[in-house]
Amino acid sequence: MAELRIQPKKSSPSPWLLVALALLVLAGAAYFFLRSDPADERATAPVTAPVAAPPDSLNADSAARTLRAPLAPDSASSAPAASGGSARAELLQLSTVFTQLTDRADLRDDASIREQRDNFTSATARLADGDARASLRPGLVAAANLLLAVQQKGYPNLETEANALTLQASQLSGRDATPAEQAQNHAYLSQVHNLLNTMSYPTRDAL
Amino acid sequence: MNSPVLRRLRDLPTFELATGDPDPRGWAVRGHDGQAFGTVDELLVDPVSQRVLFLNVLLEAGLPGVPAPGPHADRRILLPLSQVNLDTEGGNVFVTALGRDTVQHYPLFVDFMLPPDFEASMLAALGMAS
Repeated sequence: MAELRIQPKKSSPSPWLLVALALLVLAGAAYFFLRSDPADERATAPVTAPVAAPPDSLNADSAARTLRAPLAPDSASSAPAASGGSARAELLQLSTVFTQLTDRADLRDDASIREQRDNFTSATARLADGDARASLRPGLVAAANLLLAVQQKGYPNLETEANALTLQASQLSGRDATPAEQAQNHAYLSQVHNLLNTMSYPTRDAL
Repeated sequence: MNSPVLRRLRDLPTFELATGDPDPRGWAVRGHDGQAFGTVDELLVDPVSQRVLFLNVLLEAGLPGVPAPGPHADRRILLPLSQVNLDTEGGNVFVTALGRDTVQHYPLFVDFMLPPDFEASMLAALGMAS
């Protein structure tokens, strides 16, 4: 003997309401995953500069060509002055150059270089965020350590310069207020640019 | 005791089969010999007691002794749910008191209106005392 019962239907939410909720969730997810990161925007702007590489660099390999544009000998030596800005601005500009350098095919797989590049990024994060009270010293020291790692990877003949740069960085105050501090920073950054300029050439071409 | 007011389940949009109970609509109706002679088309329910009382069964065409329906019509019977067994795994309704050869003696359900003695005649055809 069979028995079947019926019951009043349970109220269920409107299917359109469910569709609207699903769309809302999708829109939220898309916003979080696809929104442009302000940090990316800052990083991409200077990268366009190497596109205008001088024609005479066409014969060099692509990695060197990318680096040589912002680091041409004359521009490198005059960079601190030409920028007209403080050591802070100089340091932030180095971020782009370091990124290009450490992305080079012969350097990008080195764990030590990657670590030092990350250290530099972390050390300059507060500067990049516009924190006026942030000290320059962590970024200046990290720059020296990064160049030292690059030197150890591919430029053994630059050991003296890299070590001297590290020593010079350790003696900096981290401030850029007095003329003496500015001169000290300027000298240090000039050395960084000189070393970067040398390292912008392939390993085999560095003397 | 008043007779229940029968309604087709599809005419009650605020009701549904109870959770856990099978929906036999579309199941084959098989007689004592296991041969199918119809299909459950609708459920007749009592909204007050909230129970299914009858299965509205659409008979197959060409059953022996069953007169052919008129144009655009079909042959139906009502089966009291209390007189059938539900095979929930196979999707069958078994009614042992009927078969393809005996369904001709069962009262046809020709209209939605139930005559007063219709249930008694159904039970009598099933061999049950009313």
